[in-house]
Amino acid sequence: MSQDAAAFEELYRENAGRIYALCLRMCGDAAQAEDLTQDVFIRAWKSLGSFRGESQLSTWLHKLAVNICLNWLNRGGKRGKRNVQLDDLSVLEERRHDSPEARMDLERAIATLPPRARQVFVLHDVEGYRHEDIARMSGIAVGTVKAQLHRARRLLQQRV
Amino acid sequence: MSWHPNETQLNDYADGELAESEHDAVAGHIAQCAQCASVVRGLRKLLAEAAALPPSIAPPSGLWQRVRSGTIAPRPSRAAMLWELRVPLAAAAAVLIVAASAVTWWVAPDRQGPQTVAVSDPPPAGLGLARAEADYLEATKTLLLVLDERRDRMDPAIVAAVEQNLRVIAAAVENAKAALAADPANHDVTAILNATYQTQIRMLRNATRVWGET
Repeated sequence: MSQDAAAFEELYRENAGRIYALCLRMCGDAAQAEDLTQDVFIRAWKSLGSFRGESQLSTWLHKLAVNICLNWLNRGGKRGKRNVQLDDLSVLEERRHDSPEARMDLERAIATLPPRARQVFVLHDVEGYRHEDIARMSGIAVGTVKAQLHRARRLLQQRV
Repeated sequence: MSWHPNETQLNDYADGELAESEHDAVAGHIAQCAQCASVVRGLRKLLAEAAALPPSIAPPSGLWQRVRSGTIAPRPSRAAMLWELRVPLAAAAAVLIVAASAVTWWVAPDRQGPQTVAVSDPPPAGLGLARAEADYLEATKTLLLVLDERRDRMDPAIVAAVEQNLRVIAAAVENAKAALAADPANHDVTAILNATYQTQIRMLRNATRVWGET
């Protein structure tokens, strides 16, 4: 294996879990999250040459993943062909035996949010992005970001 | 109490983002209003749960292989791909030649062997995949019509051989299509699929001509 290939595999091993978690929460669909994660790493491989080292590679990869998820949502956010829904959350239950029940409920409830509200909630309350950053990345007004966030929180409080 | 903060103000307060000019009024209200205090407590509980979600979830075990095949896995060379597809193609060609020869010998009045088969004209340059697929399907359909017309007069073993040959051809086409689906931007695979179609079309048309003329 070449040095580049070995480094790329290490990049995948170190970041795949975080990227997959982001994609899963952003799209609410396990199969689609797998496709989006694959897309993130393939694009990362093709764009590594443009990485200028101004931020950590993991930060650059995370931004790339956010952009890919947002683009997917802007295209209509169609569910994956394999149509594995997050509703049964088996994908999470299998991997998180130690998770408190409350967190499982929250994961499940996030998956049921309307797409735009889910996207804003995940980016702001889970990933820690600021309203202004979300507005810029999503191409919507800050006021709209806040409105979607408050809607998401209201719905989640009703469902959890 | 006549005034309550609105939803945006309560959320901004819970986020710690309320403008300084509003902060004291809202904080003072919450200290005295059980309803608004409850809303803020609920928001803070939700925020704490969201922040406590695990940052990482293990992806499906097969995902690395999918990523690897699209990135660092060495791509098979054009020659290797051609070789892989040539195996079923060669089998198809062999069966077709044998079947065509046998049926020609069987139906020929003087039993002097198969007649010479003219090779079809080469396909026009730049024939697109969609056109090639349509031509391939049409050639298959035409051959099946000829077979149906002459089935009663042909040796069942030959009919079976021809039908088996069609299945092998279809499998070769499906192999090429699957390779293209896995790597749609690969011009080599596109060229191979196109070449596969052209080969199959030529063989099918020749077989149709041989059997149609006997």
